[in-house]
Amino acid sequence: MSNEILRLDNLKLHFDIGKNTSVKAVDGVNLTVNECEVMGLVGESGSGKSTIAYTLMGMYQQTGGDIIFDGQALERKKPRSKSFRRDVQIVFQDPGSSLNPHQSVKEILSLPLKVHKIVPKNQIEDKILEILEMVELPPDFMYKSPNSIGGGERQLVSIARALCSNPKFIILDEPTSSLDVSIQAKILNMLMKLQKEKRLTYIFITHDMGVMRNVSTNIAIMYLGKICEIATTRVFYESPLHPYTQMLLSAIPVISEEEEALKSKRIRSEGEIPSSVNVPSGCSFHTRCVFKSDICMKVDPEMKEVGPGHFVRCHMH
Amino acid sequence: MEQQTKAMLSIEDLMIWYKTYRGYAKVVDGISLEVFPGEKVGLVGESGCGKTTTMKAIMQTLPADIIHVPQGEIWFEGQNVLTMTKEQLLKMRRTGVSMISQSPLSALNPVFTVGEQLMDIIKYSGQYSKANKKEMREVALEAISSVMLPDPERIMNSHPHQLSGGMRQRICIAAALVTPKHLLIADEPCSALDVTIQDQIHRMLRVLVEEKQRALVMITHSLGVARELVDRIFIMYGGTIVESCYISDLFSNPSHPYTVGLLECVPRLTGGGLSTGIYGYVPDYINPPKGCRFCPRCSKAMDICREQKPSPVEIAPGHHVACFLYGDRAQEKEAQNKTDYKAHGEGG
Amino acid sequence: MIGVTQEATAIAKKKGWLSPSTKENFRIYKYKFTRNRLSVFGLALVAISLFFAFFALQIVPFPEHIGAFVDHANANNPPSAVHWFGTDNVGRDVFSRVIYCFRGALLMSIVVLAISVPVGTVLGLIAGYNHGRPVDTVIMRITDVFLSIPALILALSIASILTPNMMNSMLAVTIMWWPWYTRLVYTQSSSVAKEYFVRNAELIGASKFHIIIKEILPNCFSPIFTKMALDVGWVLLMGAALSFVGLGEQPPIPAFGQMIADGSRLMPQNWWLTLFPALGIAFMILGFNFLGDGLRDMFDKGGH
Repeated sequence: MSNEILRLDNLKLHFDIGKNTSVKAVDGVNLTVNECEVMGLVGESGSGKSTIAYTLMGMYQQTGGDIIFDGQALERKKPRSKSFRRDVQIVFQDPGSSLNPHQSVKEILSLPLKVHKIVPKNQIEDKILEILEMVELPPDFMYKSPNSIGGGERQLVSIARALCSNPKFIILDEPTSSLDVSIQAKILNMLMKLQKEKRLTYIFITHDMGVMRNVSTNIAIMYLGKICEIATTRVFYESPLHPYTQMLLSAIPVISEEEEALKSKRIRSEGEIPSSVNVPSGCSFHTRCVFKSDICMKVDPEMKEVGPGHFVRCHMH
Repeated sequence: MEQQTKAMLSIEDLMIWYKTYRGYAKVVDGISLEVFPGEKVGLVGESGCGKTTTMKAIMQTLPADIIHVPQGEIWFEGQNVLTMTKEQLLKMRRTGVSMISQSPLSALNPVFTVGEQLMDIIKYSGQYSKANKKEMREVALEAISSVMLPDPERIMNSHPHQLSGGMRQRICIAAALVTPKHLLIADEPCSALDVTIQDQIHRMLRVLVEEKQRALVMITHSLGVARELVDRIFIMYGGTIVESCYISDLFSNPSHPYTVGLLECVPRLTGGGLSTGIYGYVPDYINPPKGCRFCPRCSKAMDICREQKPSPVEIAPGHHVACFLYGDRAQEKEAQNKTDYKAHGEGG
Repeated sequence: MIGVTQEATAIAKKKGWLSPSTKENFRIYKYKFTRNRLSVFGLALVAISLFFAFFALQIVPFPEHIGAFVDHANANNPPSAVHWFGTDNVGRDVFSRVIYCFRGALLMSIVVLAISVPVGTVLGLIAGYNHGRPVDTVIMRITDVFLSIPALILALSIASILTPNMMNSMLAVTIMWWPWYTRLVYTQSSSVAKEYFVRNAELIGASKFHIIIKEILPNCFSPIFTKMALDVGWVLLMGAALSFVGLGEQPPIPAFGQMIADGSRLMPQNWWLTLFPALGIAFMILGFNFLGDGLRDMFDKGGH
């Protein structure tokens, strides 16, 4: 597609943990993200969703495959270029640990401005105020320490920091999972407003399917380092095909009958995600799947396109 | 019959203050609640609303040196917990109430096997003679298989770190249910676990509690979890109970402005966009709002809300709301509201 | 929009906002520190020690007794109204000499820590930030070698190779003291380096210098300060041990260890010669230990 901004091509990341054993944290992921899109990445802990983000940022070196950002393949061995560091930002999950408790908000926000020389030194203070206004924080936050503000406000400061370098692309790694719902709503609204205003592209990582329904345009679901299903959001919730997707949906505690109707009646959550050291043979989900047949235990299914933009990795489809 | 209707746990107008360097933080501000035998009750609120403090007060596990209880009573099975002697308290913890904590990692001691820890709990409950190790072992094995863990023998002999988070929480549940205690307090038992594990554990907890006829107090921040698990719900905000009702009433007729806001904030699977959230933040507990603690964030706040604390009003059988919009003064309020609205309309 | 920003800038640039939060932090620290009465007691002892050290010559009754002075007529007097702590075998006032010892002991602690703390901290920061890389291994193995040699024996051998005097005993203690700080800062900084704000600074592209000095170092201050306060006591104990065997301050200038060593030969008849210098050491060590505990409480994240 013409306006594609990021493509992961058979991305692999294996950690060696001893002789002949490795953790396949990410194992052959193909993913395309278009401009101004919100790509949701869902999965349980240990599914490799955060690892993809960290690999993209250059925190880990991929074992195989390519990352193509803005038409250029990122070099595997070299650190990320300065322009990449400016264009791509990440917001981490834990607002407690992502801001230095010994710095003021002003110091925190001025770092990216200084490093990327966004504005001349004497205008840094004005730029910070402008950014604070963008995330609707009052100007006196400049002199506050992260310890003296609430979790939601801290996350807003993290978002403000990501916005400092005028990025095109932001990775949101569970930005609201440690916040209360009333504050979560506020932060999500802010993120969506910024996305529209600044024409940003997001990768939105979360395990909360309710949040995902309301923020993303496309959803990819991950299980043990592989993507099982990719679809546009509406299709994904209304006609999920992969048994794992259906299991995830059925497990969500919901608050209304209409939502209850979306849940699969046939599937209930069973078992636990296996350790990524001993990935099951064949389809890695077969240990928990109610529809499994002999072929699932032997052959790993291929990704198949079952509808426009709807891909499933399952023998049944 | 008399016994049946008597509450096993009742909290009356309880206040709990914490000492801080700025003065007292009035974290729990006059809450009253009742739990009847065999009932599943949910205590729902956002972080920092005092729900865990309340439950710790029942177990008397709050740090005594920084706690001040200016008023209130906690009655558990006919005894006031706040005036109990050490022996009575120990007896209550051993035989009366059990608790499942939020973090299954720190709830189990890493240096002992799961079996040893379960056996200790069984031993201290005083139900079995100390000599009868074999019988206690049987009970422990049964408890492990009752929480649907495979191969109980192996699990008995494994250390907590050899088990996954979900398995550990299952062990905690087994430990809480192994002795015939009457009340089970679960403090966000699954918030650290994945959603599919969470679902399994909630289903299992529900079945076990019903099977063993325990009363359950479920502390959670998720209305969805409460909907699946409990019969009656208490919504807490800023150290007060703002609404209490049967779970079906909550979703069909949410009444307190906070409850309404909270329900709107939950992102739906059916889509429909995001709500704007509730304006503002949780109150400062050291200098809390003088009247209703929610009023600085409330879109329907009136003059009286800033002056007086609302007391609970029964608006339907078993449905109590602590808000001036309801009860005797409701009509008065409505009139005022209308004028307010008009004024707003003209202004805008 | 611009108007709003300028207005906001004007407001925000008023320094007024800085002070309330600083004041607030100060109040929190004060509350946490004073919650334990012993830390206040420790602070008082430390303040008194400092006072003795600075004004020893002004406050003691017999300043001339500190150096070489002989008065055989008043030799070996037990404690009395004139000589509170008695006199030694050449008639010098023990009280004056003990008070003067505070100066040497404190000077030793300050010099030793002033050198070993920065050295240890810098090495620990470098090793901690480069956790798992060769530079980490090199620094930490050298540290381990120093830590594996018994401290007192190392100091004794260094001091005895060199000429026995105050300077060399300080040098000896310094050489065996820095590895503790490297260890401490290493543990702390390698865990801070895993925090997301450090990762974020790396991802933004900040320099290593910035990351180590601005992001990691401030997060290591509280354990460093706490250990420093506790260490003052240990250093002066070590100094006393060295001077006890004659490797510290040389007579006639008094030092705690030296006075105890001299006095011990006249035990138990002239008990005051040993007891009062020993009490002097205990006074300082207690003070700095209680102060250290107080600092630890103060920097502790939890509590109200």
